[in-house]
Amino acid sequence: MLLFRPIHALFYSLFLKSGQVVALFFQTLAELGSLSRHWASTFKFMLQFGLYTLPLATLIGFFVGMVTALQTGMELKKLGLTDLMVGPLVGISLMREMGPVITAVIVTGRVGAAMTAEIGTMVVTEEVDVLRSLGIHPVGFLVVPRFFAAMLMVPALTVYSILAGIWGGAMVATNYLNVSSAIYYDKLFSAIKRIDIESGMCKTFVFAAIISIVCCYCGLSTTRGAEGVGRSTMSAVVISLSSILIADYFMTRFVGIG
Amino acid sequence: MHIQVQNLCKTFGANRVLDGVTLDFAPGKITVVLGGSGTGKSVLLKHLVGILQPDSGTVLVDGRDISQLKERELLPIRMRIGLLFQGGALLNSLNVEQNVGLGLREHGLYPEKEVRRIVQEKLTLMGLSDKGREMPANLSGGMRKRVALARTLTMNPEAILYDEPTAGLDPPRSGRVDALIREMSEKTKVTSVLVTHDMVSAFGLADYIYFLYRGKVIEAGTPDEFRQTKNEIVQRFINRDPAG
Repeated sequence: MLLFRPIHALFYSLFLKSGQVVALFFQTLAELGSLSRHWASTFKFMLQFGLYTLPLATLIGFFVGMVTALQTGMELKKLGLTDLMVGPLVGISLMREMGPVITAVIVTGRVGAAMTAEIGTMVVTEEVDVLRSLGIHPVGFLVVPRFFAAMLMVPALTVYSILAGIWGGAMVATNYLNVSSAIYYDKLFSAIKRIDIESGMCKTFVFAAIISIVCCYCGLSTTRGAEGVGRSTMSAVVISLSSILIADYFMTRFVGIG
Repeated sequence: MHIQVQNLCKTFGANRVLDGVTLDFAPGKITVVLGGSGTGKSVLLKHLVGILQPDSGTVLVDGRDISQLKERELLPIRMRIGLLFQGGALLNSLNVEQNVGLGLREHGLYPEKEVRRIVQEKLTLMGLSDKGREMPANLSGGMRKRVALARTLTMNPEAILYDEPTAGLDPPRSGRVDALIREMSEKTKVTSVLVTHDMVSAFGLADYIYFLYRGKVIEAGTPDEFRQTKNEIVQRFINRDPAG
């Protein structure tokens, strides 16, 4: 019985919070009309999601492509398939999995955590209460611009990150694996099918929704001062990353878009 | 606007902050809520605009119970009630002008030119006409409070709830704020609820006073009745007795 109680509490909390996150998602969709009053703040968040994250996405995307080419290239060399396979393997793995997931991880750490800390601070300094007292819906004012900016910029950033990865793979393939760049790009582009692009892009939209909604939810549910802001920020990163990987698995496995 | 609170109870964890309080804020009058720190005065104000929901009891605004309304149903009621927060609670990402015009712009009540005129008028009223472009972080505590008051006034509310409006202000500015509260009440017949520790403001402004102690109303009456109270706790509070 003593063991059952904390397990029950854990699952109760898990289901309750999951329900609240889903409710926030639908509230955000219902409040999308308020976007017309918040173009300036939406643009600011678009810069945060996109332009300001670009250097990090380039660096990480580039190195992920290099590592993928290096790892697969070493094995393929033993089979004598380096010329044929390294390009397609780098391209397809980046488009379907690595690009969307790695970009989502970067965005969660760089933008999502900052979003939670900002909203959490607004909660503890009563700024969110001020919005309510002025008859302004906090979801329309705080969540909608961030959600919309994420839905636009995370997919764009993912495309950019994938291209950086393909370029990084090409650097390794040409300089280390002795594959000519013409063959690398030729094999890569002829192997990629429309479904590979669509599946990767579908994932990025889902990941963008997860990051923006989970991080805003954690910020809005902040309690107990500066310590609470720290706890919310940690929760936002943990829940977002877990949700991204779980969603990635289920999309790949069951929905048939992988 | 007539605001009534009936048997309101609110508990945070093991701390019972409000314990069955009943108050009546008469339309067009200035009602002061006195009480020591941590007696639930600010919590009470947040119940009056539905930011907090009570554990039990009701909050009636013009006869309608708002305590169980959903967020969207509360928004039009909140537009009619202005709440001045204790620390000002300005949005730190917006400058002074944007803070003051926030409600007007969000609700699209006036064209932008008119919004700017109203904002400038309220800032001038608060002696802050040249501070429109400043960020809240660059303002003193007193200035922040005056900006918050300007923001509250732009919405032309039917009731204004003031949480410590003169705390942190020098005596002349406190006097100016008191005069403004009195003027607002007399000119527009706005219902005013004032939570304060400032006895000069309380006795100078109040039409009626409630005294909160440990989550309960232990004394209520006009300023004259309060001056002659026999309640020892209230007497100690009024006379700034350290044992109070």
